[in-house]
Amino acid sequence: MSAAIRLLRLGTVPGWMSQAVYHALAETMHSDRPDTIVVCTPNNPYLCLGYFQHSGDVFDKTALQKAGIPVYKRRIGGGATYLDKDQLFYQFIFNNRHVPVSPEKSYRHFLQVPLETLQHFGLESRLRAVNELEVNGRRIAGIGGGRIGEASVVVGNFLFDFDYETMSRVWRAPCPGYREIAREALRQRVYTLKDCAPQLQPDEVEAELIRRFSAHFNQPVVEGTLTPEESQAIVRWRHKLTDLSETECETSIHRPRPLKIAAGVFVHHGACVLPGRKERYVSVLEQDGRIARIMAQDGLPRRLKEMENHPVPQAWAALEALLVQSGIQVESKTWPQN
Amino acid sequence: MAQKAFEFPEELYYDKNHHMWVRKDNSATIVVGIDAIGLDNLGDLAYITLRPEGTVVKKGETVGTLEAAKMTGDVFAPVSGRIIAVNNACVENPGLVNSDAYGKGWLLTMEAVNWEEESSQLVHGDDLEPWIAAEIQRLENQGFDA
Repeated sequence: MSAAIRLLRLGTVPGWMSQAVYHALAETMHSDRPDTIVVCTPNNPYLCLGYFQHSGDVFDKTALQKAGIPVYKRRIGGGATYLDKDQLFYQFIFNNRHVPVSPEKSYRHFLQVPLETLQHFGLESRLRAVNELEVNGRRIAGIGGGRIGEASVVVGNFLFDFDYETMSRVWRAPCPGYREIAREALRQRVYTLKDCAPQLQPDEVEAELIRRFSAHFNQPVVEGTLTPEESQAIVRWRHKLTDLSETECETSIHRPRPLKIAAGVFVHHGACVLPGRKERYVSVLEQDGRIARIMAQDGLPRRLKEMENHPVPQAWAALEALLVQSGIQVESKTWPQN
Repeated sequence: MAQKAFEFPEELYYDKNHHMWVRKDNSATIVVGIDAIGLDNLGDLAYITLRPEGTVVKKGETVGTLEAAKMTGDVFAPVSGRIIAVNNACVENPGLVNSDAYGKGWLLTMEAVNWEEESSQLVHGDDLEPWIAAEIQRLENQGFDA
């Protein structure tokens, strides 16, 4: 392992650069390069897709154009996120050999630092479902990771504030009711430091986070700068991030997927065909192992509402059985196959 | 800590760098998948994509990408060759790889172009047991519970 971890405090940077930097550092990682931690904040709002997501499946093209927000596609995992100046990013780019192979352990290894930072400020925080940071049982960060070449990358953020309205507006809503359910779930389950600790300033959170790195990784952490090679790679990645085309492997398969709001919270939709070939949709909020809310279009059985508060997966089977009994065919759905 | 039992069928060959398995019969065609330790490390796969039939790759190049626990990673070619077939059942349902790694969870078939030379770098036969033990130890040192 190298002698010291390099810390890059980049301050406020263009949105594209806040993504490009960790891709570039990962791409240029090799055995004589230091493990690096980047701390930065984007200076403009943007949306970011996970590697396996398709823009058309996730975002409403018209709403995107109206909002004028750029969309980037990262090379690492996780779901679509809205990012802006009210967030402080931490990005770990370490040599693969210095990181646990298992994603679960890798996340735990890195996320312990932001977790303890939140706890230091008296916030009741915990790590849930492998990689979700929560305060008071609500999601307070967006986390993703991946292996790029010789590097393991884990990225996350502190949400000081969050633009719920813009995020809700740009989601592609496959059916009526879907956006309403998603917006409500987002407000309920995504938390911000403005809500739980309004006195906290980004500077003091950043200072506390950085103070913890050295002890946690048991290595010196030294502030450094980008090399010319890394700076060039950052510029290259600016263009790669705006390429929203399919993943480079052509066998990727599109299938309808639920919208994940937070750990255990998903918005599903189902396309149903009524006798006479009329199409109708049902939107369903799954929350903590139960169906929390159902919004069904006219023409679908009113009794679908009876499935609310019932546990899944049994409730999925019951919901489908009810539709079939009513002569309705489920053409596509995002809840799991029974 | 109790050691997990990992299944490693003896008749297969294993890529020690990337935890891929290779099945070779009498023809030049090989079948490729992810081995038990590789899958244990990854956890449940959420997505997998594979390069299309006809793609020519060298040993160690990527033949696909996967995601488990919101973390992406590459799938590597254990030997050089041309992809003949892709298991679309796994692309559609990546859980198949976790549930039946050496059976229905195969990923690709390839025409191996340099099998004689490259297969000597794969683990097979008597080398298998000590390699598995060493690998578990190595990963344990990286925070891996075996």
